[in-house]
Amino acid sequence: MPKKDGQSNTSAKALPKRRFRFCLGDVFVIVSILLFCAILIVGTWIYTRKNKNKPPYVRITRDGQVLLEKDLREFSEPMEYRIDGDHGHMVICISSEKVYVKESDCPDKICVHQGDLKKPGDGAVCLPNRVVVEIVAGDEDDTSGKVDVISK
Amino acid sequence: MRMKRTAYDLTKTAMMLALALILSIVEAWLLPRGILPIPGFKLGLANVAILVTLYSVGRKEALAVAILRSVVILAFGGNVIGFMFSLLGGVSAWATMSLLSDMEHVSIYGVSMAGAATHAVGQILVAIFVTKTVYVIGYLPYLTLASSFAGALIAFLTIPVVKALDHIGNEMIQ
Repeated sequence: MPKKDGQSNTSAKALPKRRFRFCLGDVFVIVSILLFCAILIVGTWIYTRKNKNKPPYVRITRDGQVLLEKDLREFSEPMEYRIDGDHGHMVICISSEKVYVKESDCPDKICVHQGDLKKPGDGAVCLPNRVVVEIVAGDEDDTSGKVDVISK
Repeated sequence: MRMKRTAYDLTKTAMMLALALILSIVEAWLLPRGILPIPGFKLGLANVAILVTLYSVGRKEALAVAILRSVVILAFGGNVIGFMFSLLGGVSAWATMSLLSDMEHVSIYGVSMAGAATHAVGQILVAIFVTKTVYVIGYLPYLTLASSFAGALIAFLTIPVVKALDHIGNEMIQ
């Protein structure tokens, strides 16, 4: 019996104090979280702004390996890109204006729900298939070249 | 004066593990996948059970509930990727919560919110590892914000459960 008492004491001591009312420290927690998010949002915003005028490229990655990376303007006709992975297949629609995941046989369909990807920074992730579809910023030099070709 | 804590604690921990599993199922019913705009976002109802364990049984037991919950879900038809997400998210959230619950001036709300935020960071780290791209980091701020709100709600739901368990315990002692 005394042995059990000893155990009960240690386990009682190990319990956190029950503060069920909002405390000052909570403000600190909230401020830290907001600061963390603000830094990340500003970071992504700067990245997007920097690449606003660059031509959008579509990049499809599986397991960190690039399957396709191409200037969106080269897709004058919409095309369907198929991926057959270990876990299942995906169909990605690519046109000069937008890219979207049309079909995927993953369970959660987060990639399909992501909708249209248009500008650099947009992307859709399919974790079960380990596929990332994203729009990245291409080279600006390329733009002038392309415009020249068209204007000719 | 006190009753045998060990058996009582074990019972509470087992009950909370069962509760965590039930809440995971309830959450899947309430919010089917894809209904929420942020990929990967969940309310984390099962965290009620982990918080209750932390506050009314102990730290180690809370970790046990967090780990066993992931293992049981994997055993009953979960996939390996889902397991990695819930395990790493759960363990990192537990680490933050048990650390913060020790601090003065931090209430259960702060503990739960910080835990939820850490859970989001842990999940994105797994996502970076799985996809091998850093692109997914773009989701992190939104996932963290939404999770923290959910964390406050979870704390609110946890308080009556902890109090009810105390009440039951006191009655048993008398």
